[in-house]
Amino acid sequence: MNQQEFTALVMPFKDKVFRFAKRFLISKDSAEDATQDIYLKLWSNKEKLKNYNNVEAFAMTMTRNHCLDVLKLKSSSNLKIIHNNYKDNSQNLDRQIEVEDSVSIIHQLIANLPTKQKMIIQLRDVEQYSFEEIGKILEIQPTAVRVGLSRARKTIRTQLLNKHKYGIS
Amino acid sequence: MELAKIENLLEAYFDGNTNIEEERILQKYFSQEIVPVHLQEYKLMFDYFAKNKAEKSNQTIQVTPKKKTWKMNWLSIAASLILLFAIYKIVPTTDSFTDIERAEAERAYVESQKAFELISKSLNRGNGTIAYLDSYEVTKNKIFKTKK
Repeated sequence: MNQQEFTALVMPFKDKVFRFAKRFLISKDSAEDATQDIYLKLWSNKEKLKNYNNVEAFAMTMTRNHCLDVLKLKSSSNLKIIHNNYKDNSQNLDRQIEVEDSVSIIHQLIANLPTKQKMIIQLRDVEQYSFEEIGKILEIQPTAVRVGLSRARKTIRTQLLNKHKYGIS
Repeated sequence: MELAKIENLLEAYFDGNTNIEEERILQKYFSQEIVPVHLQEYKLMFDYFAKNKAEKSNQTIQVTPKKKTWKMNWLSIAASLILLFAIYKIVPTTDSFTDIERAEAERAYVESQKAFELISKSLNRGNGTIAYLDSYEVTKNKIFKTKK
């Protein structure tokens, strides 16, 4: 497989990988780093890619695993000075601006969801994958995807309604 | 799109029972500016998803460290040859002067010679008076007979 073929095969879902990574890693820079890493990995495994009938799902699975690794590494290391962890967003100026934007209430609500639900919401409501594809990406049953999705959506709705009832905190 | 249908779809949506087509309908419905007040919250959600989907990174991905082709190799060989030649041409000229440099150096030599002459002239001005010191010596020798 030469570079053109590779590019044609994997570049169409570059932004999906990026957005998926950003959902985990919060900052744009670390999401871009992750995207770069994933594409390097894909490139080094390019001969094996032919064996996958759904390269995109494979790449998304890689993204998931990569991001989980990054997060695990981050939480276990003591170097909190590299704060692309979302716990450290208090002083970030553009985060503050974003928070003022009413749409980002949703962002916050999604960020508070359990990891699996967060992934499902991202893959379904943003990227519009089918349940089968999400199941393949996350290596779970499609029915589990549906349940997780429903829970995630309902949690968002409930919290959103509460916030609106009591005023935006 | 009638409201009842949207509300039904929303219920199914929250139960995870909508397919992608139906979710597109919802997405389209909530992308309009004005929605009924009781659906305002859902508009926030769908707006967020739409906005998020539009997010792109401008980063260019580099998968291959650009392989050195033969053309590249020849290019570097040629470049180093040129460099060597240039050094060879430049280095000897530093100890053999060009005409302009030579003229400049000669002019500087003449100038400094003039300056030295000037200094020595003013130094030699006092030499005449030093000659009297000899007569002091003569007088001294007359008074004090020293052994020679």
